Amino acid sequence: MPKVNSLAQLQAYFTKQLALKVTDSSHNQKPTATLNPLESLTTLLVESHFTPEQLINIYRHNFVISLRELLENLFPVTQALVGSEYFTHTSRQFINDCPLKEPHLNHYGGYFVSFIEGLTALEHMPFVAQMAQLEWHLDRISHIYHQPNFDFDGLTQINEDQHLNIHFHLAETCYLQTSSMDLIALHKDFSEPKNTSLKGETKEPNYQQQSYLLVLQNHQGESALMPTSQQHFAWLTGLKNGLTLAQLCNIENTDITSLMSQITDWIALGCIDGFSLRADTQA
Amino acid sequence: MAYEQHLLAGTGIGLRQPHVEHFMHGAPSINWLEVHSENYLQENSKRRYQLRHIRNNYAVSCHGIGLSLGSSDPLNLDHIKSLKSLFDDIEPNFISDHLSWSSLDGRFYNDLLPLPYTNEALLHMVNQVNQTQDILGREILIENPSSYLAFKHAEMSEPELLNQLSLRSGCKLLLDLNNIFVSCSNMNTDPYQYLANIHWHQVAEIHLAGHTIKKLPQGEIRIDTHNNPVCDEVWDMVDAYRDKLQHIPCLIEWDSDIPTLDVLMNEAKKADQHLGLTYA
Repeated sequence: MPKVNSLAQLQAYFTKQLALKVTDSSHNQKPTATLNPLESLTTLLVESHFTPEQLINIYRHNFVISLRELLENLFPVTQALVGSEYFTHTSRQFINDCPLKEPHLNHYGGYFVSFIEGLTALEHMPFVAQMAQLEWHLDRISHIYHQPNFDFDGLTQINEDQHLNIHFHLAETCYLQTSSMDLIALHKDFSEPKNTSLKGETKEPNYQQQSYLLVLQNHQGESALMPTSQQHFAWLTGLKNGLTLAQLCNIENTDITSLMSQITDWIALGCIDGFSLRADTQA
Repeated sequence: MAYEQHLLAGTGIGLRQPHVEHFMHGAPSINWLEVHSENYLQENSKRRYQLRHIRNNYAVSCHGIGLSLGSSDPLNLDHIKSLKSLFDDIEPNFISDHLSWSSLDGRFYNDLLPLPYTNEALLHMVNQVNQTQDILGREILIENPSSYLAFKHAEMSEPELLNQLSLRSGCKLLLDLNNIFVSCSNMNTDPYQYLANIHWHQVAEIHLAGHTIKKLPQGEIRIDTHNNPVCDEVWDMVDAYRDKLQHIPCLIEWDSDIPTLDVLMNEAKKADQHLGLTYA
């Protein structure tokens, strides 16, 4: 029989009842919520038509369901890739193993991505975690308020002999990702209902190809997916890592004219939103 | 300590994401809006930008679920700092949170968990509310939660605790009539007795919302889901207390299965009619 002497003890006891206990981490078995039958709440609660377990279950249901719905809304394609049963199981395991540590839900989806990356059951399907990463950034970028306002006047005032020391800044609304799978095609095919009426005409898609992609915020303020080439990806990664034009020129097969042309396009797309001058980085 | 008050009037609605564009590009006729504070914490977010814009045209109340004031954990100062930044930015007319707890040992449960109504809990809430108001430099409103269970070792009723909390901390009360009805139905107590025991001069805001009836083998239990129109029994409570309620700003809350803006606005008009604030 539990003895509760203080608010802190009661809350510790209550959360113990509330906590989910995942009995098995294999994806083949459904997780179950189990309570120690010895830890009966009967002695603590005013008598009711309902059992203490039923009453606690209302609170448990509220918090677990709210977090699970958050994950389902953030990761619909990831869910489609692994199937809803496995996703539900994984979500419950995540909610149990990685409790919410903040009084809001703004970062919780990001932790779910890390959790999926660490799942041994998905070791041989790295594209699942990559898709989760992609969906997380699609959502994150869609929430950022971004009004591109590139300082063209400032750029024209830089002396020509300093141009190679310019570092162009990648906007925070721009995210780069690469994968051994065609993530854009996967995302498209698994986020849209498949047309099954064209019997015999559907071709099995080949997702097994290296892809380089860019998530950005379009001019309507929505997040968008854009395929990019290996070279453009290398340049963008260089920008993200703080490389100057001179340093970007050292990347294999870089031609300064095509690099500058591409930078102009990226400024127009809002991927580059500023610049700074670095100390002399020219070789 | 007394804080400056920024009064609201009439019935408002909760501003929910599907309706934001209506308020960004038009001016729907509504007395005031309430937002969930935790959805607007990120300074560079579109939501914050939209709220700043909307705030120019509407009175706004910031309603939170994250302070976890009843938790025996220390106050989450990072969260209060984020809230202060939001409030300094938006200058809401009211800010509010709940008579509940939602975290322990740094773990958050994203729900409003029940407090035992003991003297210890009252003193703890008074202390937490005082500290929070001091840091924020603003008065907060504390809302009664929906309850599905009660603790045997309670030493006072919920209205008594709320009255004392308001008296001792200087906070005001946000009285949710739907929560009162849900709790009283679930606890088999009288919602009118609850209302009779409230110190009305301490009530600064009213919430009205819908709920769901869940069928369990032993009978029905009412769950505070905010996904339905206000039920008839709650409108009856409004009618019975019209004289007191019509001087207090009232809010229609609808948080899931969110209807069109017209439906929400009509529910707000209905509230105004029940409160005697409109004339045929």
